Amino acid sequence: MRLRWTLALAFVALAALQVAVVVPLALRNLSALLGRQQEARVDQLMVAVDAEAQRLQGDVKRAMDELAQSQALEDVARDAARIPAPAHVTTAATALMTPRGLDVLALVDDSGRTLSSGHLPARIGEPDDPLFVVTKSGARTVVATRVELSAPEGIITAPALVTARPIDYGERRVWAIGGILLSEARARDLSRLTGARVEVVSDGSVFAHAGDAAPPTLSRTLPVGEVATVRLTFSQADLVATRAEVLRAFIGFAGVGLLLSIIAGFLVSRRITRPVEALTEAAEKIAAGTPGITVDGRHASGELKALIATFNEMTGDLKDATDKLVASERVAAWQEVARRLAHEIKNPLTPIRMSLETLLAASQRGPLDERFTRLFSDSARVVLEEVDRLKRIVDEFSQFARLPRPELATHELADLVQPIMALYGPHDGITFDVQLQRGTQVKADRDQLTQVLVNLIKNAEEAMSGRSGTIHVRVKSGEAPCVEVEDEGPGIPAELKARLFEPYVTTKPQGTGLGLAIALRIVQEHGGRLEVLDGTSGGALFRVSLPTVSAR
Amino acid sequence: MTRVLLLSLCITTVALAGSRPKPGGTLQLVLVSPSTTVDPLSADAPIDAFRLSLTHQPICRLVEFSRPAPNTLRLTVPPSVDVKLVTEALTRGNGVLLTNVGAWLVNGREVDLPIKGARVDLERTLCHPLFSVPVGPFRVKGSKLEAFDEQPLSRPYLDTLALQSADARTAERLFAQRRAQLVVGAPTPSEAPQLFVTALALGPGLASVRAAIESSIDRADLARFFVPAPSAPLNGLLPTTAAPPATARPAPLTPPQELSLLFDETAEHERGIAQRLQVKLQPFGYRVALKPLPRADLKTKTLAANEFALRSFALPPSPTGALLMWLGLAGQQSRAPAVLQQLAAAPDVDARAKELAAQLGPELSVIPLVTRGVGVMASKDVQHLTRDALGLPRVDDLFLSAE
Repeated sequence: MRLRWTLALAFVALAALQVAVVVPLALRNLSALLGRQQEARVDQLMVAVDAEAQRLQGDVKRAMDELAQSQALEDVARDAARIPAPAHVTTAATALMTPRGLDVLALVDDSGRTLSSGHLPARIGEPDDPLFVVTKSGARTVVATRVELSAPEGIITAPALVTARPIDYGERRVWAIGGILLSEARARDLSRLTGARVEVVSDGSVFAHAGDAAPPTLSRTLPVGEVATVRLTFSQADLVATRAEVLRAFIGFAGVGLLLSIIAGFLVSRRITRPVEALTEAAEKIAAGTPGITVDGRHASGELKALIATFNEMTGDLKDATDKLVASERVAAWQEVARRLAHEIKNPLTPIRMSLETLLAASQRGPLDERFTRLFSDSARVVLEEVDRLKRIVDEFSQFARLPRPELATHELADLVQPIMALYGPHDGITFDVQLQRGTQVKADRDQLTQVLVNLIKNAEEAMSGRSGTIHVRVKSGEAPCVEVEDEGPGIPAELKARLFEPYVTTKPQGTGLGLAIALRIVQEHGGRLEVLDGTSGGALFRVSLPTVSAR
Repeated sequence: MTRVLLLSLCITTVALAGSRPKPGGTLQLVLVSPSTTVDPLSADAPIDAFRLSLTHQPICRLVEFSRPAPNTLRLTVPPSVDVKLVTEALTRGNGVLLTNVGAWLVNGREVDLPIKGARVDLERTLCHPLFSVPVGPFRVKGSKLEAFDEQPLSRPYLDTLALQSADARTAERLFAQRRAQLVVGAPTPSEAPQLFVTALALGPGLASVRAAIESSIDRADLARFFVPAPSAPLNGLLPTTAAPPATARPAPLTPPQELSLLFDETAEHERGIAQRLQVKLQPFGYRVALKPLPRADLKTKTLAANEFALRSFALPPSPTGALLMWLGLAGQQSRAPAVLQQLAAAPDVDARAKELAAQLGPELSVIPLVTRGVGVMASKDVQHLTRDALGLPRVDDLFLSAE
């Protein structure tokens, strides 16, 4: 992976790590904080509910105290014993109850008989024992009790907060028992006060309820004596919504931060790696043989800038050194070529000189007799042979020096090899084993490649001179397509392998030492590689590897 | 002496002049009721029946009765009344049940009713509001009621009735302020007949609840506490029935039985009685659910096995008619011929009717509870305020004296 992407990913990973660590931690703390605030709010509301309950009890007490002092109740007490009871007695409770904000009011004589009932007028004349018990409580306290009411489904009992007041008229005593029901209206009041769902639970069932609380919820209960429980259910939906909102904001911020981190990481990594990439590219070019490459160090800073400067200085020095080396190598190469060429040329000159000196000496010794004629003929033949040899040396050198640029065209590699091998047949104990795998397309100059392969096969034949065997010619496709020419000759000594492709290096008496040098040069001109290996049967194996079409 | 006689004559003359009917005038009339119904089929409450009587009159007051044969009652319809209105009234609602006559014969302005049994009180039965025809002493003109001159009876003394409805408190205030001369429906005691009944009709299979009701319900308490005055307990099928002997209290039911009590949603006294029944029946193990219904629905409702209903209606001002009405309410019309036969054979129909009422009372699936009348407050200038057979005040007979 490129350094730039590695750095960018490192930046992103760092940012993501921060988000992954910070967001849950912050959310957990926030959630705990909100939860504590909610608990505190609920506690405050429960205090308010308690205060409201006290206020209601106070209202009941005040209303009943005022009622006990009223002239109307004094009249009731006065006329309670009349038979039949006057209308102002029988309807008193209904008339007195509502203006005082009471839900329950019963006027009861001292025996417990209902003289008038505001909450259940049908009770008139009947005892109401559960309510009359309140008169036995003594103190003027508000007590929780169950009150019977008429409902569409029948007589029901409802939880209520009531208190009793005696009204005396002479020897006669009448009780006013009044209070409030824990009804839907009270539940609504509490619901409005607290924002909670309020349920009055009595005898295990919900008697009254008001409000609503979306889940999730938090419940608290407030006992009302032994007759009912007020259950307040607070919705925590706001808390959840707040938490979700914060979470969304966090995720949004984290996302934006992450995006910014990616952009910043990419920009920073780009800024950091651009000089490095330029250095890498320059190094690759230098490695590929392009000398004198310099890197633009304007965008770099610090150590990188110094590194680029050093690199540029180094490449400059390297170029100079390379130039010098190339020049010296070129001189050395030419010297070597000249030495070898001189050596090659000098070899034929010696027989020529000796032949000519022999002829000269023979001519100076006497008349040109038959012996001289024979000697002349032999000497001339030697001279001609050596001249031919000189000419061949010069021709091949000329060919080596003036090798044309290859004219590349796309060919199936097997199609290049097959026509060549058609020219060869078994001879002198040598057979040919040709294996052609198809499917490899190469760009090659057919004539030059033919020259290479003919040269390699000729070398193989010469290596197997005087012995029988098989020359294997293989065209391999696949991941490493190549052409291999393997002989079963004596092989090539290791010390010779390194110099085998140099000009004028040969093991053959009549060889010029330029054949493999020309072959190597042709293969290199094609962008390929020519190498010599040890064959499986001890002979030599030459492998020609050419770049395929797709690889190009 | 002569001077004394002359003085006495003058005083008498002045006094007579003060109380002499003075035609004309407008009566400020207040009805203590939210009801303004003028439908004979819905005149079940006394105030509704009174409101109806201002613009309608029952057949008994419009026609002339004669008995050309022992078993025929002839109704001679006056020329100003369409005979068809009379025959329509005879077939209205439970009319056929109350008259129990055969197919009548119309001959000009005469309608002959073939009587089944000796219905000596059939004429009185036809005074029931159900048999009213829209030919009354007054007729509606704008927001007032004006004297109806073309009616067959004599024109009322009053020219106009300025009618308004109010609650009892407002009506009392208007009367005290002399802005009302006559308040009808005031909660005042009255000696007039009280034939507007409220009873309990039991659904099939609810005979067992009768004992609980009879043993716990005090009809006097019902009348006193839950029915506006004037009201009275109704101890039997006829208003004059004496209080029945105390009934033994049945044992409470276990488990409790669910009952539904139906009542007229517009009748406040029925709601009070219904709640009283809730309270009273609870100790016996009856859990009574209250189901208020529109009056029209209640009339046509067939009671289910666990239902009972409060029904308010007007009894005909005749014992025979009243018994037939109860038979109809109890769904036992089939017993009507036998009842009529027993009455026909009796020398004293009223006395026999009382005996039959006492006999039938426990057998019918109805429990009479209370009767209601109409209380009236009249200013001093309102003279000659009489009542009809149902105890309703008759405004067409009264006049305003010069004060």
